[in-house]
Amino acid sequence: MELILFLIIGLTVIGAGMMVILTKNPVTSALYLTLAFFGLAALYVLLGAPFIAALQVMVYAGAIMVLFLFIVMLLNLRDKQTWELTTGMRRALGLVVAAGILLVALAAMKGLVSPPAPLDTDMGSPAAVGLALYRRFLLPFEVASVLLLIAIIGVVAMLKQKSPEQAPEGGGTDGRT
Amino acid sequence: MAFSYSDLFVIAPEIILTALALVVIFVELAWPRCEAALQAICAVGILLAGAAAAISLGVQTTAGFGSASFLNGMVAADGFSVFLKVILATIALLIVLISRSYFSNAPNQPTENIGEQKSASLVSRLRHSDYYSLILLTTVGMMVLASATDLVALFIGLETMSVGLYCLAGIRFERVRSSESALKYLLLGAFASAFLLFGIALIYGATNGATNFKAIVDALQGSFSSGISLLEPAPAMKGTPLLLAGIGFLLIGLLFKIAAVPFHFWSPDVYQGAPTPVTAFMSAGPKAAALAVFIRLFGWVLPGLSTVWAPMLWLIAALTMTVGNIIALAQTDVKRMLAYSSIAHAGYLLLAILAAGNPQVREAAAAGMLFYLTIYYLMNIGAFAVVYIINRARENSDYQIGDYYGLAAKQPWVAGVLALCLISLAGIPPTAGFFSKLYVFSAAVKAGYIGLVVIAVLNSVVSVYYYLRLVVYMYMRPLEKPLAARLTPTTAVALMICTIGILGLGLLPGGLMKQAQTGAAQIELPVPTVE
Amino acid sequence: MTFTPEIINLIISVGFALSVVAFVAVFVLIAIWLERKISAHMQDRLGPMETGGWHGWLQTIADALKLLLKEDIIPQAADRPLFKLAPFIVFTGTMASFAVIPFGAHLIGSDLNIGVYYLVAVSSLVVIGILMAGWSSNNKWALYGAMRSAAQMVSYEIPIGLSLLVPIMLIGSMSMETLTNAQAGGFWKWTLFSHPPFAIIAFIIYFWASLAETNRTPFDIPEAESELVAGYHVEYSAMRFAMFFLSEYANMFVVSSVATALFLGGWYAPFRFLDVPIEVGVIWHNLAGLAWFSLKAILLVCIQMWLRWTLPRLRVDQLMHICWKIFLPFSFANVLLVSLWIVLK
Repeated sequence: MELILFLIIGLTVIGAGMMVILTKNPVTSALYLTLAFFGLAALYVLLGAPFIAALQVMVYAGAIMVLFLFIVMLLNLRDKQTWELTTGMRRALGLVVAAGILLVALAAMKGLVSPPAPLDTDMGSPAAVGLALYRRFLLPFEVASVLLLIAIIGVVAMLKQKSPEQAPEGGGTDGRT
Repeated sequence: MAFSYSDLFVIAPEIILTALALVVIFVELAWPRCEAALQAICAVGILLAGAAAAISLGVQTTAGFGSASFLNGMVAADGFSVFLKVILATIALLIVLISRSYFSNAPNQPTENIGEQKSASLVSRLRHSDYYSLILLTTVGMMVLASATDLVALFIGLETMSVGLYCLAGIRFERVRSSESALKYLLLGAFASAFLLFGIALIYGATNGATNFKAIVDALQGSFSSGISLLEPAPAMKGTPLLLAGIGFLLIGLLFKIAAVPFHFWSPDVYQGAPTPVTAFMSAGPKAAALAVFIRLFGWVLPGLSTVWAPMLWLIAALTMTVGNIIALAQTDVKRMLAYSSIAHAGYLLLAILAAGNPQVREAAAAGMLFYLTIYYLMNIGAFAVVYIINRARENSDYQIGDYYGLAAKQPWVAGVLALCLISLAGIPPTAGFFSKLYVFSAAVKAGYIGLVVIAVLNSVVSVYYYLRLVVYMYMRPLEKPLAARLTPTTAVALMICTIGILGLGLLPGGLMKQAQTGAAQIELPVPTVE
Repeated sequence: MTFTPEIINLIISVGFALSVVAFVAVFVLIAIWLERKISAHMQDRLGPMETGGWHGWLQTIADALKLLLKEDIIPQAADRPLFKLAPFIVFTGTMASFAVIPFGAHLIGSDLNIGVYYLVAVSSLVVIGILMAGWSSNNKWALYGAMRSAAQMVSYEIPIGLSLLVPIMLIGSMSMETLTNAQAGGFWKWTLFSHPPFAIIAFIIYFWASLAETNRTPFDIPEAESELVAGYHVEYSAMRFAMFFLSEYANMFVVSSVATALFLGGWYAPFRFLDVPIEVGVIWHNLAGLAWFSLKAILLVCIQMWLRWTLPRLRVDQLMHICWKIFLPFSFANVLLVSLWIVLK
């Protein structure tokens, strides 16, 4: 039962992931990404970590994907302006790189002699996640808040001085103004 | 216990800087247009942070818990990381000092510029505190990165640093070049971060769930006892493909951050487009922080696999110095030239990482790297500060070498500082640049990389050409355009610090080197205390 | 065929799910009729009076039938697959929330230990559905509506999450059943009244933010008939429109029942003697719980309707101002104070 579910969900995730890069329309591709995120959340449930699954849905599908869609829609890439970035040369190069990474990944899988240690059944509970965040990863957790602070300050600083039409094009010396 | 008050000591510099960043914002909110006060607050705060780092080391040494682990082994509290924190604090201090009036027309600025009124209204909306707090918070990220002893702390420190730099590069968003620089850096940097994270995930898998450096060492040695002395040569490790792939990806991420050659394409464009004080910051800070964790990781965690990574790194180091120096020869834009020169210096610094792969000389290599980094930021920030001054005076959008013709006649002091920095960058005695190269090269020779050192020395010879070309232009060409460069007092102080540092450490390198050796000898990998 | 426990479980689950769908459908029919009547009486009108005789009680059913029988029109320039899919995603997101709503002592789809969190998470599905609907319609009003709606829902999710955290912290669980059971024994035991300052602030913030989450007046700028025609579902007709409508009203019930379960004692009566004890019979016990729960939730729904016909619509900037500058700081301060209180207690 679990294996069947895993196969179905896993194939869905892979399929959705493929569609993300294969579709021409950016909105469709963003929505496929959402599907992939939901699939991942389902995999977390299978692993016995419903809290992490809910986190995944809320953070990725809820917040990040909405921002993605927002930006794609604001750019308003309609039918004609689909992504025309892939020339033959680039596609070939991309294929080579992807094949290389796949090879590395396969080799890495093959080297995985012993199966990973069995998971703690309590792994995905809210308490376990909380303890991990506030005890084991206390410092990274706190530094993450510094990271967010930087992002807030940076965005405010950059966008407060908009209106690029008025600025001298490419001109203006460093520090002259 | 996961947390105790002694943990606060270890991260005191970071805490001070974060608090300071908030204070700066609120100070400007209460008293707008008081850049001098902001600068003073930043300077004092950074000095406090540096002092806190030094004191925390002193407290630990006297209290005798130098090797204890803090914050669950996320960051090291050893002499090495404290040395780096002091370096990073000084970098931040110098950048704060040279950034005066970047976003405003302070009364002491020349006001006859054309088009100034036009863009003044744009710039006046930008608050100084944003810029200064970004500098401070980015420094926090660098400090975490430099002292990280856990892959999670490494990643979050790296991201904090990078996001701060993306924002700083684009802080003059209304300028096409600045926003282009920020975008390029962001896109490529995010790509590199993804590689790094993938590498971390693979290593996590290969070591049965270890992210802590010490835990990785234990897992790789197949023993979970922590009784193995770190000073002994590390026994050969199991190099499973999973682990090797992880290390490869990790290497890509780190090499990107220090702009080593196959991953250097972003750096000239980003350096050129970013505001000059930010460029100075970018060329000094991230390199120091990333190399610190680099040497800790490859010299102390993965030396057992040096047969695998050393040849790769050998090639990259050779390429980095050669490509950096040769392309720098062709540059006519001073900022780009300095960008390529900093790529070349990254190549020299990689020698230290390579040497650290040999357990006998790794301390010498780390000490040499610390010394090199100290000198490197002094000369680089000094050079960029002068570029910034000249560029302001010239009112150009680019940094052509023609701007420097005859500088010495008009501005003897400024030209003198730049000449000193360039000579030091070239590594000519008696400047400190000579000793920094000497220490790193000698460590590499001891580790047996004689061929690479020969390449490095040849490269240094090549680099003399383009460094001295600028010096020659400054002193031997006639002045082409009038020049009204003015030094703000704070910039003068910063230049003074750089000059004294370069000359003083060139004449008496012993004191700093001793400190560096003490720091390097204390490198620890703290154990995680909580599972 | 043998009835293994799994199969019995499966049958029970499916049966429960179907009865929830039926319940929602009935509720929505009543709620729409109720809203029309309430609005009419508030405006000194009578509202629907003809269909079905007594006070036009069959009006909604007639409307629903009409919607079901109408032609399903898809605009030519629409992104067809997305356009077709969007209402189902919104509907799924809403219906998924019902899995953890505790209608009675044993009437809960699945008592997840992360129940409240699950609710907040699945509600994000609705946002994606709305964005899809707005974008695929290829209509600027629809797109505006979808953008506003998404911005609003994503923003207001934060104060909602933070104010839901207050009862969670006070009781110490995220399971809906545990949260409700902790409030047994009279209305003074309900979270709202047992921890006065924090819970009341949290409840007020939750209730207001939930109005925004369900796109109700005064936060109905995504639909704003007078400026945006009908927002994201302007191009929808027939069945698909009915699904949006259904999920909107179902969503009202969801947010109200979360408030009921977390703040207003869930299925417990305000006084102990009004509860039907379990000794009388499990079925009666549960039915009484269901009655009390529905009563409280529908009361809250009525308050939502009352507000809709009382307050004017906010502007976009006012909406964001309220969220980020009033609700958010207050809910942060509230969470901070609660944690302080718990530590010091």
